[in-house]
Amino acid sequence: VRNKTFHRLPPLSRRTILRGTLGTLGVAVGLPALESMLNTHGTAYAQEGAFPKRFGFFFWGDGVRLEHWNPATTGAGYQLSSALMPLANVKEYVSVVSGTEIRTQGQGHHNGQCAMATGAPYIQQDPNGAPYASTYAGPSIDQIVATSWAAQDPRPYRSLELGISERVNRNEGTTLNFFSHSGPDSPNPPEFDPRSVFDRLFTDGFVPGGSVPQAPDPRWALRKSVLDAVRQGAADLNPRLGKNDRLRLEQHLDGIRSIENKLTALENGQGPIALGCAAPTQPGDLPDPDDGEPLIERTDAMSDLLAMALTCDLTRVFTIAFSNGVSGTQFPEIGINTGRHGLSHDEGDDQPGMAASTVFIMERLATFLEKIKGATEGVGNVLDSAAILASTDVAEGLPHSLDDYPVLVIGKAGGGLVHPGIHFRSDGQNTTDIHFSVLSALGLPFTSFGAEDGESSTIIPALMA
Amino acid sequence: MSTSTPHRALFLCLALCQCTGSISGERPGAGSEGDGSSTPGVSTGAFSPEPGALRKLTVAQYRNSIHDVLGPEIVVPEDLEADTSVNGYTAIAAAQGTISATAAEKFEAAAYDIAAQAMIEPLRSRLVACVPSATTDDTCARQALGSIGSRAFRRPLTETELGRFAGVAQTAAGVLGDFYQGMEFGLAAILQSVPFLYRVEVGEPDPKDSKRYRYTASELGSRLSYLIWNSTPDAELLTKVTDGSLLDTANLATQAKRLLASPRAKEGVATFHAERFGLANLAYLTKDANLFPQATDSLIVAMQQEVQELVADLVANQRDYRELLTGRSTFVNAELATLYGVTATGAGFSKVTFPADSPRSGLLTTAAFLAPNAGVQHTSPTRRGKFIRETILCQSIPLPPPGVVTVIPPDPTKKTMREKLSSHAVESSCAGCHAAMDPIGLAFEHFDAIGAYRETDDGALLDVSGSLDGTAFADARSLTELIAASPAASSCAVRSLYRYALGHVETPNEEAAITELSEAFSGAGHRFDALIAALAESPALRYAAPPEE
Repeated sequence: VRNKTFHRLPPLSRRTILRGTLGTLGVAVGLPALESMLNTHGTAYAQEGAFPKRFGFFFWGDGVRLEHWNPATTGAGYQLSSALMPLANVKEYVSVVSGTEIRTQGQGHHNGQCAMATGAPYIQQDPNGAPYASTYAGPSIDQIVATSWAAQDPRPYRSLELGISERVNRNEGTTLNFFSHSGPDSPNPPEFDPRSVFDRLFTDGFVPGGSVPQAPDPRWALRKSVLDAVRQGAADLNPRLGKNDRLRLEQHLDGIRSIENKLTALENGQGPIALGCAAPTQPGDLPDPDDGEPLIERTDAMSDLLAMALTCDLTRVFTIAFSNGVSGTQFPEIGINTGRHGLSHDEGDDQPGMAASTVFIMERLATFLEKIKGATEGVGNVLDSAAILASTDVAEGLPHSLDDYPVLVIGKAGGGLVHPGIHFRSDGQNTTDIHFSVLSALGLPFTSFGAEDGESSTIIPALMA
Repeated sequence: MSTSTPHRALFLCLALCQCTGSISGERPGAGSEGDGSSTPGVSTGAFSPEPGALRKLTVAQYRNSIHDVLGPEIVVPEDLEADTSVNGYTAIAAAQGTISATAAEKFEAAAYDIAAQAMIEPLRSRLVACVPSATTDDTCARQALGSIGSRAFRRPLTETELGRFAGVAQTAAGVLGDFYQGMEFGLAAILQSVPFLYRVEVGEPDPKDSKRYRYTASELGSRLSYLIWNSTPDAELLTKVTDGSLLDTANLATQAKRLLASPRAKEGVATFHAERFGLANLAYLTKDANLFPQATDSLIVAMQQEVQELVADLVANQRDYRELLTGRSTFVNAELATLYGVTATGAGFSKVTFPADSPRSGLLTTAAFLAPNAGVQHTSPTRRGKFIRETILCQSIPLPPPGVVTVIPPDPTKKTMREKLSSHAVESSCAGCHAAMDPIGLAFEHFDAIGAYRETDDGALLDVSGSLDGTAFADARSLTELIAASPAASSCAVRSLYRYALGHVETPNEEAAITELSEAFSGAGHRFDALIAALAESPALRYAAPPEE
């Protein structure tokens, strides 16, 4: 068993980048022991395993107002707080975990974002004029899951990365710019344009459920021969490359493999396709308001597309970055014309704008969750087989606090997660215990998550079914 | 349950508290040796290069390369993965980052889109000069793909590569029953290949000196062309690649001068400066819309363009690069003219000279500097000072210690930023670093959070005098004169170009090359084109370290 995960690397050397940190190294892999842990709770897992499991992360920047966030009561049947009230229609699928703390050390936003995404300390970089700069030290949890599942049962798209607010911070390294990463300086940038997502998912060889199998398009095989030529060319070059470049190229070839998998799936007719799978309506242009962004419209459109992508089993892993840490997202819809990060620093008193914008963000999360709850699957819906984390880069924006961390654990994970949802109040345990619990609930054979102070191999029993 | 009450005791540090006294190392006021801009741990030894790298084409480089290789009429798909940035530079991210799975998918889609366009007349006849004798015509396919491929790969294709692409094209032609449809697949293979999507700059053993590693002729051609034109080598440069003559330093210098003399050099110069000054970030500028209704998207675009016009004017007219900081003219459109209180002539951008009593001069009084280095409502002298230290002078400021809350508590008795920031000087843990940033940042207090001039702040008169490392200045204009005259500012321009051109942050072993380039720069009257020409001849451009195992 490889127990130690990736190591924190010294700053500033480009040599550090990527070395041994790409791919699945972010988590220790091995030990089927987890299976038995699962099975102490999890006979339901085996029975409900007919539908594929999904993993997602909904992330937003700059925290919450904790006094409006944490529910007043714990356990099942907890009372939704004012911040969480928008989630009323999906509450049975939502567990609130409060009271954990991020244990990695570093600059508030950077540390919190990396800890939530990777469970590890970030790599600090030369800011070159920016206030600060960093990149992730390893893959984010969505890519850890995607890599694991792609090896077992590749889907046409190994993961989807969607973004809602484009007003993210672009000059403090990749950390605050992107949620999903495959490794240091290797972000997976999100799509902001629903039309682009539609074109990718629902035009290239898309087969709706219940349709008559068609003869494979001869172009699919030809495209594979092209990719084969690309791969051979890369192999020719490989002996000239240093270790770093070989790793980078390997990452690129993973992407090529992903396209090949998609083409193979097309040729094989993709297997059984859910009857509910049908191409959604092609999204139109989003509005372009003068005083903000089409946050509501973009979330609506992306949620429709993602719900259908999950129904059609085009992918099983997704991230929705509503925003990231140190965001400039404004909310003119509710009278907030200051970027959310600026607001967290500048707003006095009880920070009503921070509270209101948290509610706005939860409304967007609710939109998405309600849409995938509407995606029926067997006698249930896609939320029954999904595990979705929702969290942010600091607990409270103003003090940049990393304790009493706001985290939601959503979905049943195919019977792995507690249902109906609970409010679990922790007494200061590591936030990454939540990540590890979710990976475990999904039946993934990892023995730990994160690194250094963020490393966890502890399950939170209350969260498990 | 709530932890919302900040620790007021920590308020007073507006971060950056690790400095003790003055900024460490070759820092302002730390001594008279050198130019004051080097990084700590400087090597005084001979230049020793770093290993090369695969350098992913940026979106602009991809688009330019497609146009140059296939034809300007190609409409390059918009839906490509956006560039990322590392250490402030896309050029560095491109040499370190990876291509994500989504990006690979988009490159695939773009390759077929472009290949289909290339096989439409009249472009098709230009790219496929031969007339195919049959649906599968190996000779004709090889001829066309060999010609396109060598432009795309910036070097002649190997026989293996040519056979591979022709094979793809032949198979596809056979399956689809059409020669040109087959060519589309051959072309799509070239356009998704690693030697097209990346500039391969990894070097080879130098036959003249077995201990040394050098860049190959084709790698030198790429380095030169993407540096100066931000695009692929043209036919003449490729000739020098193919016959190997580019390995000769004199030829390399001649080619550099030729590329620099072309109007296309404007794009390379603009791309570097956009990266150095973070102009792309302006697109995401956030200001309080109630306080600054004039901060529209079009004003932001104008801010970016102003800097590009300033730089282009300076470089094209071969003037002293230091005028970028001190020039009394700028370029404005109507919106920017309103912000600056000057009069624009004609539509679009025009050159205006500031009146003698205007507080504005050069880059540091443009909105492109003043607005992003400010808060959403208020100015931030600390951020403005930090930008000058780091981006203009290449001096790094230590990071704030963990746990510091960087909020200034509201205090109605303090009106100006000078008063508000005074706590930094009192708090000993903050004083060191803030002494390097706040005083020079306060020089710009006559410019509000979007860069408009103001006489007062919250009704209070402003004192914008101060000192830069011991030398007094009266206001922003005299400060910019001091900065421009400092060797640190000139060598910082060199250092920044070095990072951009080589795609990495220099190591101490590379300092000798930067020193040499800085001398060449000042020896040539600080002409930017002379600096690029010097870089082309520098060992930094020509030699690599062997790839790391």
